[in-house]
Amino acid sequence: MLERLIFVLFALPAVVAGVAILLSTNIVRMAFWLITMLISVAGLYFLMGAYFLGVVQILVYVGGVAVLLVFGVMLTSRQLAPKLRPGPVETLWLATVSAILLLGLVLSILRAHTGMEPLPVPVANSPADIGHSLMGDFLGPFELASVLLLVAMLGAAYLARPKVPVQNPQGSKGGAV
Amino acid sequence: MKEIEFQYQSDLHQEGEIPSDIRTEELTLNMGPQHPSTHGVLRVVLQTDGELVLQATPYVGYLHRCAEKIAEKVTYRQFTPYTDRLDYLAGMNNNLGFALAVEKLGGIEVPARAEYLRVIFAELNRIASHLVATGCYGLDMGAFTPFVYCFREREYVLDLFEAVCGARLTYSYITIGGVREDLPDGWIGRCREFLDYLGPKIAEYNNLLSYNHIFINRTGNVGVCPPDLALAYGLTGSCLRGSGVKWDLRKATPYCRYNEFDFDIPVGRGEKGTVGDCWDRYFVRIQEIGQSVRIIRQALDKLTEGPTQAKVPRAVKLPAGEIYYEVENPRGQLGFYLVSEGGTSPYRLKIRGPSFCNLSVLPVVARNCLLADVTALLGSLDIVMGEVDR
Amino acid sequence: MMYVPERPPVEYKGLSLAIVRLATKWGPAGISLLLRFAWGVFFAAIVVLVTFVWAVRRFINPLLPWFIRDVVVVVGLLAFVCIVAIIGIWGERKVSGRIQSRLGPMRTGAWHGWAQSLADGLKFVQKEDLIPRDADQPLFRLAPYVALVPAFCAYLTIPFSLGWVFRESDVGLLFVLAMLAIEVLGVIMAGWASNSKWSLYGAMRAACQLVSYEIPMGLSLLAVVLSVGSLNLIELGRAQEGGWFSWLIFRNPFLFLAFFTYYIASLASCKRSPFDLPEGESELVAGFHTEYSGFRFVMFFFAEYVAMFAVSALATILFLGGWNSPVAGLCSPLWFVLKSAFLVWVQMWFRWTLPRIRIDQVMHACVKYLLPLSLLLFVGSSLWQLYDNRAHPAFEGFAGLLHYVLGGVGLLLLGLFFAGAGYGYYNRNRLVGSMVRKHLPGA
Repeated sequence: MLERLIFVLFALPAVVAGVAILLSTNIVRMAFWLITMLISVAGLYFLMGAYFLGVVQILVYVGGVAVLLVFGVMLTSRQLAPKLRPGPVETLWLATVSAILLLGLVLSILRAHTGMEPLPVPVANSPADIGHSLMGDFLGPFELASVLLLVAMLGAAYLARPKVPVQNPQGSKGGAV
Repeated sequence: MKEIEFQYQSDLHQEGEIPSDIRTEELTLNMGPQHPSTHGVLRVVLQTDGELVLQATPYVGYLHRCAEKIAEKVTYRQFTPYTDRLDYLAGMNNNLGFALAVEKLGGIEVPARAEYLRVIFAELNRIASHLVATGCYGLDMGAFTPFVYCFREREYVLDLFEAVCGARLTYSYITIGGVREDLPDGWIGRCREFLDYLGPKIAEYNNLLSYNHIFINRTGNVGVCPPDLALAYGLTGSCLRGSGVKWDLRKATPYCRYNEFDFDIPVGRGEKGTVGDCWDRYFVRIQEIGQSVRIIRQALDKLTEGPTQAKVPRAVKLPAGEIYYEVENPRGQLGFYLVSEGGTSPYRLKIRGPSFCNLSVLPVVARNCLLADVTALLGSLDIVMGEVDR
Repeated sequence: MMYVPERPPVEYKGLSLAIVRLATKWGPAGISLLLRFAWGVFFAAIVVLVTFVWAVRRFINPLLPWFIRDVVVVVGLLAFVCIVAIIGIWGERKVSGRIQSRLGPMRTGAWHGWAQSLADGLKFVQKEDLIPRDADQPLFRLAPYVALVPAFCAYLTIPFSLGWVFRESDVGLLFVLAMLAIEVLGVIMAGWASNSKWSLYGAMRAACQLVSYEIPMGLSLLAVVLSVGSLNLIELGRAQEGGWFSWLIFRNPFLFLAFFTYYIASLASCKRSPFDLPEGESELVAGFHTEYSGFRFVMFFFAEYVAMFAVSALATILFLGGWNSPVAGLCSPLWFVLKSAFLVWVQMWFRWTLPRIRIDQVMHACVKYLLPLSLLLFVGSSLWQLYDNRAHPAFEGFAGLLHYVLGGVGLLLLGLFFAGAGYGYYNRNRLVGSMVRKHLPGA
């Protein structure tokens, strides 16, 4: 009974935050709703007994990815609360595609499970076991992920290369010195 | 506001083609009249791109009190308190400059004892002013402790001043014809005690702040002012000497018996960066404290007996004429341009405040430096708004 | 003469009358007696408290349902955290005063102004609640709590001694790091929601710095974890039960350096000087919390001291033996608190001695110096572990020798600390100068 209560306690903010991300028109608020959702999902991981995954979710997703997201949003927004509202035609397209995808998702979930009982938690979820799996069965995806991270770092380094203001007045309009 | 465009460093050889990967926005920042590190009511409007400063424009005038206009209405003796309040950290030196200008124009001879006393107090005030500059510079850089130490030392100087003239900041002690009062009993002993106490403290400040790696990284190679730029913008005082130019009015055009004393002129040598950076200007001030201690010791030895004031009539009347007289203030060369038409008040008194000229170099030197460097720059220029605005 | 209205005399009745009579009869003597034995009373209170908690745990705990124990422990942790913050703030002011050759708070509370923090708290609570008109209202209000609550949550897995932990967890160390990572969001929220360019600058700098320095912090800690083989903080503490030489900081030279790397990175993570650019007072007024006043500011202030103690607690458990005494066998939460408090005290020295580092130099130091160094230490420590076992007896002998050499170096450093402190204390009059100890020469 207590488990159900705590599940609702974590799942409700996750769903509410997810919907709020969609309905919000302020990009900064969207970022903070995303953070709420990520923390709630981490709580769900804790509830399922995957402590390591939950902690890594907070450490990496919230403490790293979300922070960078908020950073970027803050730096690139022109006014304090930019409005993001899709037009009527866009809304129709988006609604149709989302409904189809949602239908497909729900159907596949319903076909996989017949009831609503929670599945038993697998035993091997301590950090040592996760480490063995990463280096053993899941070595391929692990290496692919590291290559992806390397590519991302190279891209970031390229985008952030130093620049200097144009000194010469030729070929540019009204260069300031 | 003109648009400033950017080109990536690797693409400098391609002209006319500016890649547009990321466009960054410029931010106009106001370091308003109220700011902890602008040393008074100075407003600096910065145009920054991220942390890089593109343009820095100082706005002055928030402390304008019409000193020069008032001079036309009051008599010469009545104007001495107004000179205290120009550069309020170096009241004695301001008094000295004005008194020397008036005496030069009026042909008034000052007795020897008064001249030695003038030197002693001007140098003591130089020590106090440089202590404030050093302490506040440390505070701007985030080192809180040297601030308190320097102000503690300054307390002893202010107590010496209070003992002789009753005031801690606005003295009006050096008046036309000499000094206002003679020294009380035991003052010379206390002064020597203070000088002995201050000697080791300078080494302590060097250990704590000057040779601190973090401080050197903050101030070395920052805000470099080459000697030709310094001369072109009329910098004087520690700012000029920090840029490598060996020029001090006390040696170049000695006044008030300075030629009888033996002291050095510290000059910036680019030890921790380039010549003319913030560290040089700051370190010149530290060395000048030591030199002032030397001068005061020699002056105390040379102190003669005699009157402390010349026989000047109560209503000082100067003959018609004009004079421009400069003295070496802790902040630079303070000049008084006095035009007299033979009355009891000047026809025109123009004051050349050294901080005004020192501040004028800010837009040039602050270009292409980081936001945190603007604070370092302002602190190293050591401006007092009372002098800038008058 | 000023008109002073007459107050009606107060008449006590019943129990109040009895209390007043008792107080006036024995009050003055009692209070002076209490003050005379104040130190004794203080230590006696600590001993009584520890004994009481031990007794409760031994005899009463098995009888109670688990949630009562949880609630009591959480309340106790909250109280401890508040006391840490209060003592930290008072201690900071005294330490800063003494470093700056002045006394610090002396008046509030008769003994060295110990009640200064309480008085400050009361002052802040009754201040006007100011929110800038164009500030982002919900985010502005939420930010202080997002900064404080995770800092408190970090204490949920930190063990104060064997068994003195709210929840022992196999990933306890990562949990603490995760909670300290959420604090960054509170700082960013505060800077953004204040709708002021200056606060925004502070928040940007803070985010850069805090997120970057989490990496050397984590890597240094992971070097230790690799040598013990567990993320469980209780296990890490248990591995250091053999006295001074068994502490993990002396296990191999890489871990010795990792302690200093971790300490410097933790200074940056707590936004402490010399890395206090986010709250750079003389440049951005007060950085990201410029617009905060009253109780909201107190939350940020508290969060800083709570985080300081939390990172010092991590350093104590992982490097300095946790709750174990230097002599093998004794373990007590008092040792833990003492060592963490010492590390916090050292953090305070740094703040009042060093100037501030500029943000690009901060990032430069992280990416170019601390990060490669911590990677090197991580790799070095794991390689050391690989060879320091029975399969390589020569290396094992060398490693054992180095182990004791490092322990000796540690003893030497400790001795130098006490020697320096003693020298400074005995020569304090000479070192500060001849004029400071006399009256200021005045008119």
